[in-house]
Amino acid sequence: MNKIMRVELLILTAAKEIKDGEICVIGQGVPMAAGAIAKKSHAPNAIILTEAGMINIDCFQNLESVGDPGSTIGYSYCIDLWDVFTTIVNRGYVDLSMLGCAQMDKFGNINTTVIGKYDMSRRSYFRLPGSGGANEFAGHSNRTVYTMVGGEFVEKLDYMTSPGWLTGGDSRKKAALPGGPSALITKHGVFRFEELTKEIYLDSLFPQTSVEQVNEIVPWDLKTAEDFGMEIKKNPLPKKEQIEFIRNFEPFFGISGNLGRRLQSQVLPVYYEQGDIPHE
Amino acid sequence: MCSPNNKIMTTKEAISKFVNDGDMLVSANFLHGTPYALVHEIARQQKKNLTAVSCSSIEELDLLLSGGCLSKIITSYYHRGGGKVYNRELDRALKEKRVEYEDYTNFTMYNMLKAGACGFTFMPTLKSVMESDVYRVRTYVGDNKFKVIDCPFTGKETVLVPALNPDVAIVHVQRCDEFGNAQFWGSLGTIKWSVLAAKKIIVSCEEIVDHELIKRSPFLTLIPGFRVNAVIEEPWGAHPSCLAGYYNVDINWRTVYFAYALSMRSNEAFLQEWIYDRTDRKDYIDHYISRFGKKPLEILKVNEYMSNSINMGYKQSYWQEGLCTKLGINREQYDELAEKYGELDLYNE
Repeated sequence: MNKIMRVELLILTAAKEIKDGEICVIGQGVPMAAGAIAKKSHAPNAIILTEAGMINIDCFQNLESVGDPGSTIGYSYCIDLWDVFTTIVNRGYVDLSMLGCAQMDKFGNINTTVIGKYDMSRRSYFRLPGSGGANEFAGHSNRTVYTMVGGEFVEKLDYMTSPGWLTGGDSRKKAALPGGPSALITKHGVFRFEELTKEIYLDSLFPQTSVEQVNEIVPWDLKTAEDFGMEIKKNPLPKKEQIEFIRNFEPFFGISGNLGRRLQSQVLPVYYEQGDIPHE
Repeated sequence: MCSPNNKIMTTKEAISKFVNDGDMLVSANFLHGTPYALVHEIARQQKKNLTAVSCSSIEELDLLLSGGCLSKIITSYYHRGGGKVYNRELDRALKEKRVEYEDYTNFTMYNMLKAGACGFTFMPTLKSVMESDVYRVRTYVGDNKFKVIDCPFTGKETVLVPALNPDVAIVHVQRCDEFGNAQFWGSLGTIKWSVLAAKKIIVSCEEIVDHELIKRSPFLTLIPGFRVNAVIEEPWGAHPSCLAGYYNVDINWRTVYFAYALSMRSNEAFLQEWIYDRTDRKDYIDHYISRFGKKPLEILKVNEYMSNSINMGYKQSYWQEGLCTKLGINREQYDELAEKYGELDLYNE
């Protein structure tokens, strides 16, 4: 094993944001894998939960959704979604929510609802899934960590689904919301939010990745740790057994996109038989 | 009220009897046990102008929309398979203004249903929604989407959602008795309050079981029989979704659907082959097996991880070896005392 995927490094880096003993809400996909790795390594006492009401899960394979009960061998507390958002989220017991995001602005506000105008007036506009549980998790957890795989940075969100630091500074505090975003992990590295302005900055880079590469995908003049008198850290190389774990945990993370879909379509060979299924 | 008998029927009967054109329909399962057998039958019967309510939908709303059943959607999540490249019926329908759509969050959506289920007219909700476009952008629900008041006790600014009582709920569970006592386990999601908010309830289950079995684990009953209108036994009734204790998500099959959903024409081909040309759920599963063999279904079946049975217990008799454990006397002595102190002399008249 000599080559790894960026997304594998992303997952391992995100896992480090979870501290031992923390109560941690996990969103679908990459965050779930990060939670499982944290529990298997440095945070065995973290309590991982999903909004579907499975509390203290111990996942051995990735959940197909946050409601998928078959990827954990038991769990210690079974409630429903209303109980999660009231007795756990609203009471302030969530230390950390780790969620995916599609669009993020410089203050960590998130759009997962629509690309383009909400009225879908153009051909190229399309719907994203919507809030799901993200709005309340982002608004009421003590920390929010985002992972971005296919998403983008924008000056202005097409739709504000989940609150981050709002307009920066003390605007979130004035809105009487606790917590706020603490980190964003992308395929390039780790971003954090400056303490006073709450503006996002580049904190650390993955190996073989440059600041220039990051600047290409950020539409504003991105600040880095160097702007605040720190150095841009380099993320360490992962251990081979960690990569092994991810590949067993969810084969889709490494092999995804067109290649993944092409392989998957051979498992249930239907759409080759239908003449008019367009291929990208 | 529901009559105690005659609830067991076919999916076809249940949908035809209890789902009317123009109804507000809630699909209660949250990414787990999605009631696909019922959803397919609604599409097959070409129900029209439904308002679909759901806290998190995978493909169930997309199928109903593709089948021309929906005129309004109220939801917090409408799954988009495969990312940007996959065009969905929802995108097409919104652009052509064939459907109205109102966005919520999972909690605000479920909170409205809980208010309705509890018989309240509103419910307070979490503040974060106010700082988002979920609050600011409103379509057909308009002013009544959210309201803000000062709490009459503390003065604290409080966001409210109104109660929602759908006409009919569809839900799939693991097991149910003939009276409609429906038991569900695994992630509980949004089933309880979604179902209880509705005026009519249709339950499909993997197995209809004896009432005695239900009585032994009443804590697994999420829906009481007296509220349920129809009970249907539908093995694999949630495929390609998952169901705790039975089967895993058929993710490959869902990817097949995402591919079909790309164009209007292929989407219609999917509906034709997998819904309209099928008579019922059994026919759908038979068709699946005839296309792909038995193996893809076999590998979905879950490994066994049995729950311990617990002792629910019932107490010993008050009469032990002829003596009353509460009074310390036997039956003869009891009758003598009753003769002495009895107030009504009925048998010697």
